[in-house]
Formats: sequence, structure tokens, C-alpha cells
Amino acid sequence: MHNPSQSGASLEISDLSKAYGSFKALDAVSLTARQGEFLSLLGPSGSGKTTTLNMIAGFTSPTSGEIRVDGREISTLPPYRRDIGIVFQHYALFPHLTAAQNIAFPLQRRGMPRRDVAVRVAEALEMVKLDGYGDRYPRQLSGGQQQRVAFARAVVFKPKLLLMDEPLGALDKKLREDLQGEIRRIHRSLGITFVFVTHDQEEALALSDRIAVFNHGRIEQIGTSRELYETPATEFVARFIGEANIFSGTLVRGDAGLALDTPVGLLPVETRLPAGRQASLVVRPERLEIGKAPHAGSDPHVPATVRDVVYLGSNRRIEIVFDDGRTGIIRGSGRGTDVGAGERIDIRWSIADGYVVPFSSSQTGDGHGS
Amino acid sequence: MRGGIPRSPGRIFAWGMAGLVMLWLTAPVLVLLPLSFSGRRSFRFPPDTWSLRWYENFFTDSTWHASLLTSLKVGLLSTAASMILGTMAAFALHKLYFSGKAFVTGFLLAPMIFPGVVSAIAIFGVYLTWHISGTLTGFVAAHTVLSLPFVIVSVRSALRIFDWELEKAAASLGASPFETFRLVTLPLILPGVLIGGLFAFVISFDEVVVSLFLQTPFVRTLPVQMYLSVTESIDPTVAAASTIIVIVTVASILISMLFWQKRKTSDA
Amino acid sequence: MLNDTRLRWLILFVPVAVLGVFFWYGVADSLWKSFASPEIGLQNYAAFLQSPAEMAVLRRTFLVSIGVTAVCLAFGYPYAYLMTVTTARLRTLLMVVVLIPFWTSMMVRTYAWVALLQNNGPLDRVFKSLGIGGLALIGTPGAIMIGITQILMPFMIMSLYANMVRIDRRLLDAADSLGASPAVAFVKVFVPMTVPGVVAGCTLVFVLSLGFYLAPVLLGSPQHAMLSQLIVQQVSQLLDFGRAGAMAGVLLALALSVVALGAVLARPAIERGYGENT
Repeated sequence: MHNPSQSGASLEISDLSKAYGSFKALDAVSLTARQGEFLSLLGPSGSGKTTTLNMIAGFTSPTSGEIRVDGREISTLPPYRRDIGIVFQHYALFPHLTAAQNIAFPLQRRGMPRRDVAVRVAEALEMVKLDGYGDRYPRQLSGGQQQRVAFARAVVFKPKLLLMDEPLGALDKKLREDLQGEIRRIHRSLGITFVFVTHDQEEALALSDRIAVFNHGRIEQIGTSRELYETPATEFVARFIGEANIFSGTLVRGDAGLALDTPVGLLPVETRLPAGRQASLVVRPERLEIGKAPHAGSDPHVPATVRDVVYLGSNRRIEIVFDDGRTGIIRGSGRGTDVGAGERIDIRWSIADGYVVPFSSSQTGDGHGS
Repeated sequence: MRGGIPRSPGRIFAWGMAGLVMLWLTAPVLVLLPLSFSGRRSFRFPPDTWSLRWYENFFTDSTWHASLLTSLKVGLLSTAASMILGTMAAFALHKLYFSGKAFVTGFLLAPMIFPGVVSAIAIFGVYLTWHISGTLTGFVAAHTVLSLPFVIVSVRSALRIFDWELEKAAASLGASPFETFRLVTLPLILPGVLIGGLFAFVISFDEVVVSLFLQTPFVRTLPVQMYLSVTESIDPTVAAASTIIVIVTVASILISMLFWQKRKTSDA
Repeated sequence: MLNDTRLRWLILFVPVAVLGVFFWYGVADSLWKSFASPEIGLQNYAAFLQSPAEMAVLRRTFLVSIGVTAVCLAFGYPYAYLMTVTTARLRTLLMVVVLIPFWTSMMVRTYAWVALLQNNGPLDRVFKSLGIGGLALIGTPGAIMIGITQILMPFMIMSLYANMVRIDRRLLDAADSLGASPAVAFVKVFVPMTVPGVVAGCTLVFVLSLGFYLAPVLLGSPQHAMLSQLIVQQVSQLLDFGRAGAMAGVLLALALSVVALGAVLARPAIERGYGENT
């Protein structure tokens, strides 16, 4: 029905900055969203993702930089001329208007004839499965229903770009999962470019084509869910996306190749980084194996003590303490994971499952409440 | 009832005091009702004969009913003016951030705590030289500035609970600033604006001191006419006028409350 | 109105200008005249402050205002307290009784007192029939106070109520459970928490009663004049805007210093968190 290449807009942001006095809320951020793409802006609160959204919407003016939609610079346009749909965190439905009147609002502003408005409103209500609820006022609707009305209102005027600011944040887990499915369905059927702001990495992983990870007003990495998980660019990304065991130290060249010299021992690694650099090794919890005796082969391995075992049905989550006092996590199933608290174990992984990221001082920024 | 005043003696004392207050507040006005139906030209209470002649007098003697008309005119015009100006001021104050905002706020609200007589001579002094003393314009201007602070306070408290995200939402949906105000902000702060307007009307309809200076035999509000009548002669038309004022006031409150109720139920 | 700051300034400018022209210009003008009419100097203030008769008026104005404030507090406090503890239905009754006079014309209410308090009027006759002769209140400061109090009582009650209704009653229960008798709990726990409301109510009532005109004129007498009458007399009979301006200046200074004093007095209690969130 819709041709995605026609109904979605491309978004290009280049060198976008916002300073409040000496504080840089956003520091030279560049990113692009392709036509019809689902792009998430992910990061802890205060990382700049909402500032970016507000500047795309026109509620905040950039200190410097450009925002282009389909190649057209929009920074100077007032918000009401931008033709961008927005779903707000707390829905921002007009309480004095019914659901149908809320959805009709953007159509009326565009001077659409009354009869066409009625048809489009009915279609929109049907799209979000709220047929028959048009006459209700927002306060007569549940949270999830209000969310749907807000969504319908934001797309009914067929914007080419839809911004969503933590739209599921106020809902409970079950409802969120249902609505995530619906958002994906509607995204596919409309072909609109979606920019989705969230602090919830699972939500971002589940929904997005690509994710931009924000931290301290900068983008740490942009990539697909898989790229972010398997090849994080920085320690921050590694910690923020999923769970990670992280060993920091200096790269040294040993007789068997490169290794990372860490407080818990010399760990063989594969990386293009040169010897002598400070770096961190990231190993995902499900890549770790448990041995009862020290590993004899050439794979990296570290002794540890089991602190706690959490049984999660399909797998177990094992918290461990390394000898330098730092903690780590193992996820797995099967007999190998049958350990008890206090037990001494030896954990190991295949050298290819470790991923080395350069050390940078900004990585210490996880005091930021991630 | 838990906590509080020692149970029985304290409570009895408090209710005794409250009873006196209730009597004090309501009795005087109730006295006027029989007085307005007196058959004689006296303030004798209770009247020994009864008639409607003072009401008749009120509506036939032009000094009386003309003053009622003037009061209504001045009241409605100054209410409209202070509702518009007060909404503007409250709106701008809410949206602007600048040093000296407290000063500007004080500038706008101060007439509220000014002693009435001080406002009266200040207004009279300059209106006299501008030749608007004794004109409808002068009355409307004076009553507008006196009621403006009350509208500002009332609209401000409505704006405080207004969700500003709604303005962003309206803008994102293509509403210009003016459309946003007309279709979203104004309907939602309307209760505050209307309460402010009710205040403004009652203040204007009630005002004596400033109006006493501004009045002429040709332009005179009803409270001024009453004042002059009380000080100059014994004329129970005052009691009739009082009863009419009470009716107008209570009616305007009831009408606004009904309007309210209707809005509420149509919303629900 | 989201981004256009200039438009907002314009929106602010219009009411500020209207108030500036039709109110503040006059205030400035009358204060200016108090220093400059008929000639530049402090003679208007000197004449006022050196006249024993006019000082007596100022003193009377002050005393009547204090009296009114005290009476309003004495009667308003238990009234407001009952409003916070009684049943919803009784609270509505108490509220309506306060609000209806509040909305009723001041002229009407003052005139009602004229009718009630007049010589040989209803109250006079009630007293006479009780054998308490010669209690003609009209023309005395007592009558003025009765009239002003009736008009200002709602302001006091609403100020007190606004404060009391926010007080967490569990604190009183806590005091009870710690063994304080209800009377002690009331005095030691409840009363201190109502200080901001008391200060706000007293400030408001005192300042408003300073400038009262109707009640003194209609219920008082020239021998018991209040400052507002003196000011009006200077303007309407003598057209002496200089003298009137000086008196108005003194009255205004008095009113503003009471407001400032009220703010200072309420501060410690508000800082302790009993506050009105202004």
C-alpha cells in the first residue's frame, strides 16, 4: 500500500551542539537516519538524547550544527512548520478533547475538509485498535489506550518522520511488550522514519534497525543491535548494552601473540590495537565456560569464586568474584553451570569471543547513573 | 475526631465563637430585607407598615436606576478589560524569565494591598487633570486597574497546573502559537480566567471609595448613589437597592457556578 | 508563543503600561506633590507630624486596626479550626457563611450596620429592654470596629484555613501517643504550625483596615475620625493634594512596613517547614 521510500524522510544531523553556559548538553553530534529506518537514541538520562530529539522537533534551538530532513535544513523553522510527528512521554493528549478530536486536531490545522477528517480519524482509530473509543475523553482511557491515541494523533497527518520520547516509559512490562510489537507492525506498514528515544537498552535492541548510544552529550557508537552487542566501540557501550565482564590493563606482546596484562593475570587477546596501549577486554556472560580445574590449553582463563547463583528457568545467572575483588557474571545452562556459592572455579573463553576496546577516560563516566 | 482541641469544653467554646461569627456575618444583611419593604420613610426596624414603594422608587427615580445601569456598564467593561489584560500579564509572567521579574510582579499586584484611600487620591489626582474624572472611561480605567491584580492571581494559579507539554504537542501537530493559545491553552485555563472575571465584576460592582471621587451627578455608580443617599437623607430606597445588589451578586455567582457545572458535565 | 520572546514581552508590556498609566502614574504624582506642592520641601510631612489633632487621628487609626486584627484573630481562629476538623456538611455550611458576605457589597453591609446600630435602632432597643441603657454605639470607634471586623473576618478565616488545612494531623496523633494531653498537644504542636497562617491573616487584615473609609464615615463621627477620612477631606474639601499626598505617603509606608514585618515574622516558621508554599 505504502511505498516506504516515498513515505519516510531521511534525517541528517551534523555537528549538532547545545551549550548552556559552559555546560555542553550536546557536543558535536552527527548521525543519519535512512528513509524508513527505525533509529533509536539510547543513553542514560542527561546523555543528550532528549536534547537531540527536542532540537529535531524544534523545541530547543541548537547552539551550532545542522539538521536536515530530506536534504532540507530545518533548524530555522518553528516547530509547527516542521511536519514531524511526535509521541510524548506522558502522551500530552488534550484533556478537553475526545480521542477522536485529539486525532482530528492536526488534520484540522491543515485545513482538511470535515468529511475527509472523519474518514481519516476513523482509519487511525482502527489502526491502533481503538474503534468505538473515539468519543471517550483521555481520562476515560487506560494508560495503554492513551498511548495508542497519542500514537494515532502523531501519525494521522502522514508525517515523514516520527519522533518518540520514551513513549512506553509509563506502562507496565506486559503492556510494553504488546505495544512494542504494535509499534514494529505500524512502522513496517507506514514506512515512516522513526526516531525513538529510550534509556531501556532491551527496548532499543528489540525495536530498532540501528541504535545510537549517547553518553555525556556525545555519541559513543551507532550500529545495529548485533554490532553494538558483539563489537562495542567503547567500554561504555559494552556496559550499557547487555551485561559484560570487563578486564582492563595494558596490551603486551608475549610469545603466543598479544595479551592483556590485567590484575587477574595475562589474558591472550586478538586485536588490531598495538602493544603498549591501555585497553579493556569485553567478554559476554554467555560466552564464558566453567571449569572445575585450571584450564590447561591456550584459551584465556581466570580463577574466580562463585558468589551467588540465580536460577532463571531457561538458564542460570552466576555472579562471580575475581581475585582482584571485581565482580563478573556468567549466564548458561546445563551441567557445567551446576555450581554453588563459595565454590572455587576456573572460567575460560575462546579467544575469538573476547573483544578489545581502547581505554578512554570517558569510560569512567558510568557514575552517570546508567 | 482525633487530636486537636481538648474534646468537650474546647469544642463547645469553639462552636460558641463560630456561632457568634456566623450571626455577625449574616444578620446585618438579613435585616435589610424587611427594611426595604417598609411603608414609611424611616429606618424603623421592624417596619410597622409594609409596601413596595421603595422598589417602585428605585425603578422610577432616574438617579437610582441610572446608577444601576452605570454600575452594570462599568462592571462589564472593566471586567472584560481586566480579564484580557490579566490573562496577558499572567501568561507572559509565566513564560518569561528575567531578573527583575519579582519587581514586575509586585508592580502588577500591588494595587491589591494598597489602602483604598491612597489609590483613590492617586487616581483622582491625575484623572482630574486628564479630564476623564467623571466619565465612563475614567470609571472603567479605575476599576480595571483595581481588579487587574485579582485576575492575574487567579489566572496564574490556573497556569501553574497547566501542562506545558500540551503546547509542544499542539505545535508538533501544526498549530501556530495563536491557534495553540486559542484551542489548547485558553480552554484549559478558562476556569481561572472566569474566576478572575467574577472577582473583577464583584470588585467593580462593590467599589465606593475611588468612585466617590470620580462621580458626578451624571455619571454615578450604584454604591456611590447609596452612599450619598445614606449620608444625605433618610430614604429606604437604599434598603431596596441593597436587596437588589445582593440579588445581582448572588445571581452572578450562581450563574458562573451553573456554567461551571455544565462545563464539567459536558467534559465528563 | 513557544519561541517568540518578543511577542511575550509585548504581551507583558500592555498590562504593565495600562497599570503604569492609570494607576502608578497617579501614585507617583501624589507622592511627588507631597514633597512639591505648594513648594518643594518637607512642609507637608512636617505639618502632619506636628499637628496634635492629626497625630491623634493617626494613633486612633493604628489602634482601631490593631483592635480589628485582634478581634478577627480571636473569633476567626476557632472558626477556621472547626472548618478543618468537622464533617464535610458542616464545613460547607461554615464555608458558605464566610463566603456569602465576602461576595456581598461592602456598601450594603456597612449600611446594614447603620440601620442596626442607629439610635433607637434594633440593637439599641434590645439593650434598652434588657435594662442596659445608653449603649448607642453609632458614632463611636466601637461601631467602626464592628463594621470593619465584619468585612475583614472572611479574609482572616480564609488565611488561617488555608494554612491549617495543610497541617498533617498525624503529628497531633503522634503527640497524643507520646503521652501529651490533647490540650498540651494542641498548644505545643498545632498552634506553632499555624504561625504562618496567623501572620498572613493578621498582616492582611491590619493593612486593609488601615485604609478603610466607608465604615469610619458611616459608623463613626468627625470627633472619632480615622486617617482615611482626613485624607479624603484634604482632597475633596480643600483640594490640598500636597497635604493629602503626605498623609497617604505615611499611610502607605505604614502598610508596606507591616507587610514587610509580616514576611519577616513568618519566615522562621516557614523555614521550619510549616510553610505556605508561596
